[in-house]
Amino acid sequence: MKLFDIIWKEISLIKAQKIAIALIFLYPFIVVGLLGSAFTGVDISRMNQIKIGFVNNLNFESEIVDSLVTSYSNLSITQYDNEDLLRAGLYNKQVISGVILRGDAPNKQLKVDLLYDNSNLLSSRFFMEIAKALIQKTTSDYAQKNLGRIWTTIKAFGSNIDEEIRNVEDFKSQLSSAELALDDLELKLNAVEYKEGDVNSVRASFNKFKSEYESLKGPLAQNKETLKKLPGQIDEASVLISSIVKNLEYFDSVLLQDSDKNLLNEQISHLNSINSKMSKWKSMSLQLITITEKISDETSEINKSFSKVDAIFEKATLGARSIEEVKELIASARESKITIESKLDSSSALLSKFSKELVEFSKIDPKVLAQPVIFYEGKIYNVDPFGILVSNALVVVLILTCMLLTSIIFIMEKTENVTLRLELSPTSKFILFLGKIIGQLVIALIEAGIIFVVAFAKIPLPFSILGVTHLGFGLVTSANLFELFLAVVLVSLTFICLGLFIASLVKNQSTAILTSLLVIVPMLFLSGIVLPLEFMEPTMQLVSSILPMTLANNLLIGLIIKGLTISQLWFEAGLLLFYSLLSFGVVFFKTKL
Amino acid sequence: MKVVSVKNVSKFYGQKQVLDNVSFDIEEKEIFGLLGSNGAGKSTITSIILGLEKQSSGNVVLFEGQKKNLKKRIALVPQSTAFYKDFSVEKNLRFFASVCGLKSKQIKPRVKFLMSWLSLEPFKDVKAGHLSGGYQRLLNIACSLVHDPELIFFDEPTVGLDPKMRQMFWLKIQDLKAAGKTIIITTHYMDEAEKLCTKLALMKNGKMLVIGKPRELISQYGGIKVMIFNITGGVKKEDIQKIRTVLNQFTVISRDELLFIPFEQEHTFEKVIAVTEWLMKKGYNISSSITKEPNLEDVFLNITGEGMKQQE
Ligand SMILES: Nc1ncnc2c1ncn2[C@@H]1O[C@H](COP(=O)(O)OP(=O)(O)OP(=O)(O)O)[C@@H](O)[C@H]1O
Ligand SMILES: [Mg+2]
Repeated sequence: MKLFDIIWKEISLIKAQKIAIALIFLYPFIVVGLLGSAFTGVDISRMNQIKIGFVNNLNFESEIVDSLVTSYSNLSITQYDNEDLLRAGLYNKQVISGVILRGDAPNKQLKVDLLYDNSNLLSSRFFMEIAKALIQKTTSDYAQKNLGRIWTTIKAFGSNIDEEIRNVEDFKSQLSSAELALDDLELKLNAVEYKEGDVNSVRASFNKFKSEYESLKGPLAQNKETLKKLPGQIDEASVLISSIVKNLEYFDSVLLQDSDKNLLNEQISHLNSINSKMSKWKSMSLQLITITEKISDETSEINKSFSKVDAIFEKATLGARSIEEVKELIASARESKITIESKLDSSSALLSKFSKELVEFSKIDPKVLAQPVIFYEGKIYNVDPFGILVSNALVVVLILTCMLLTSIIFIMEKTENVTLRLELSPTSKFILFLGKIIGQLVIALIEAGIIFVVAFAKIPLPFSILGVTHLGFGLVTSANLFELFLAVVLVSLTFICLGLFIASLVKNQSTAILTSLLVIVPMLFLSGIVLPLEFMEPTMQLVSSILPMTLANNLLIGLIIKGLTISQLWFEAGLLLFYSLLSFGVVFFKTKL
Repeated sequence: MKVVSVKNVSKFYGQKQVLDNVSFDIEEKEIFGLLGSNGAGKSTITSIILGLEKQSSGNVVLFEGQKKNLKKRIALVPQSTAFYKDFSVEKNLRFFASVCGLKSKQIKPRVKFLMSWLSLEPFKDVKAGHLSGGYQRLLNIACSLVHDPELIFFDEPTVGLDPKMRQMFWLKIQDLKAAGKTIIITTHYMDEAEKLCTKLALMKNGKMLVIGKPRELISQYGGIKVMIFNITGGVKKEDIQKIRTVLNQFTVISRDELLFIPFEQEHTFEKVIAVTEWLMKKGYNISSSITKEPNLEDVFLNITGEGMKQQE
């Protein structure tokens, strides 16, 4: 019960703090609502805020370039002709991070320079990582594709090679059987050297001769005697013809007419030619008689040789058949040779294709497959990346100290009635405020001084503590120290005046702190220190760009990192001064002192 | 010299009228007491005189219209302490001395004087927040007086102080009067007002009821004296009636052993003797008796009307 009462007391006390309670309930809505509306759409629709510039320094066609531009079309990717233009684009924030593609050959490792804006570290590094991931993805896709090609080739070759091995085995067995067949053939060829057809035709003409001979044998024997009488008969005829001629020659002298004489001489020469033919015929018949004699004499010998020849023909036919067989064997051997050849052709084609691909693959640098791309990171401003942290730290620390301290002390003076006393004092309100602001400024400058000492110093430690070997960061900046001092004064002044403004609105310290935080926390999120500005709605980006914290951050970044001067940062400086004067003015005329 | 002259001042907070046509003057070296129940408008009129608030109508003239260095001539000792709790006593005093326009040469002796005058010397290096309540109040006075003002406002200066400290405060205020300062005190303590003030003003609901010297006010508005007898066993009813006839007055009241008899101021002495004699003659044993004199408190209660309610 007691505990319950204490709990209830606590809640009641909180309830009594009207502004605090309002803040407690408004706070989540304000912060979440503000951030929600500012950052709704860190999604595809926001991707066009990711502004990446790139330079293609590859002197060959690369699908990486194409895929970089096409497959990520929802990003805002801009191509520049050269690095200088890209850097210019980075300087005036056309793009937030840059990519320069380099590389010696299509199959060599791709070299990529990544440029980030170290004055906009968060967004720029973030986008750079996106660009890096994109390139990594396309290049590893590319490498994967190559690896895939190699793999499928090897796999195909692997499955074909089994068949090749089988073919070769086949070929071997076929060759050995062919060898046997050829051995056989050799034997057979040693025995026979002719064809059955030749033998048969010879045999046929022999048989024809034999049958003609047989058919001649009978008539020859029959006409043998008649033939023997033939020469005598020819002689008789010849004598007769000669006597006719003599009679005719007689008539020559008788005949008066020349034409008759010519006709007679024609008859006489005709008869003389017949008579000469008769003498040839006689010699022929004499020869025929001798031949007939010879045939009848050698008859038995021919007949004997006829049977011998038949036996020879039998053997010759057998030999010729063997030759046919051998020919068949040779033909089949030739066929198998052809198939083997074709198989060997396909094998060799396969092997040559494979070797060609291997040659192709050998052009691919193995490094490309293992690590297709090498990244080199570079910043566009020649200041360490943590330079921005110095600026961020300054802004965050200054806003916290200046705003909180100023408002807390202002309220403390009010609640402790000192304000009343000061109000009654003859000292003017302006002097009182001036003193207050300068006092706060001194603290702010000490605070800033400490940050700068840590930032600029680099003192080696005698031993390393948790890997830390130096005290301080050794920041090198081209910023003019006096300008830096002025900027810190201006930033502090703005935050102090804002602190005064908040304090003038509220009644007690806790509310002042809550209200200050209510102002600081959303500003922190919207200032680009914690979240990348580029992901905010464009209208909120506009709002963000005029928030005191953003202005302060930009002013300090401009000086420390970009090496600009305050006069170049007139917008930030001017607006900060305006805020200071405005809030100071409101407080000054609102407060009775 | 009329240090303060308030004429027909009215003040509204929105619809609410807090001051209704208030007028009064405060002479030099006076200790002017502003009396009135809570919410009467004392702080409001003080604020208006100090210039912390603006009146809705009427006007306030200080030092007969001399405007030069006005703030250096006035001081307020606020009811609640007003100094830096984290600063030492001396540092507070030095700071306020500086803010109130003292030259650096003047600061040291002035601070030293105030510390010794208000017995703060031993605590000069103690943080103001660590002082006891009474000393914080002394420091509060010191802080207000760093510039040696001529017109000093004390807003309920002795609330929450022990009797010894109150005495000391009164002495200090009288010191100031002796030093020629004009002092305005708002207070709820009538004894304080009666002892300290040379002039009193009584306010109610924003209206100025009466203004006058304490004696005058008491005799004018203090009303009657009351005699209270403590009689062993009490007084019989019929005797009370008899006392009424003896004294020739209606109001005689008996409660248990106590007998209350109010008197007009002029006839007090004879009547007391008469009653005492009569009671003793009747054989009553008077164990004790007191006479209650009218004081400022009675004036206050009578005038504001709140006393009547209590008596009923
Ligand atoms: N700022 C203000 N706004 C509205 N009303 C106010 C304000 N200041 C005072 N009042 C009202 O004016 C009336 C007079 O207040 P004031 O403080 O003058 O009384 P007081 O006589 O000083 O009372 P106390 O003896 O309690 O100090 C009160 O009713 C109070 O509520
Ligand atoms: Mg008051």
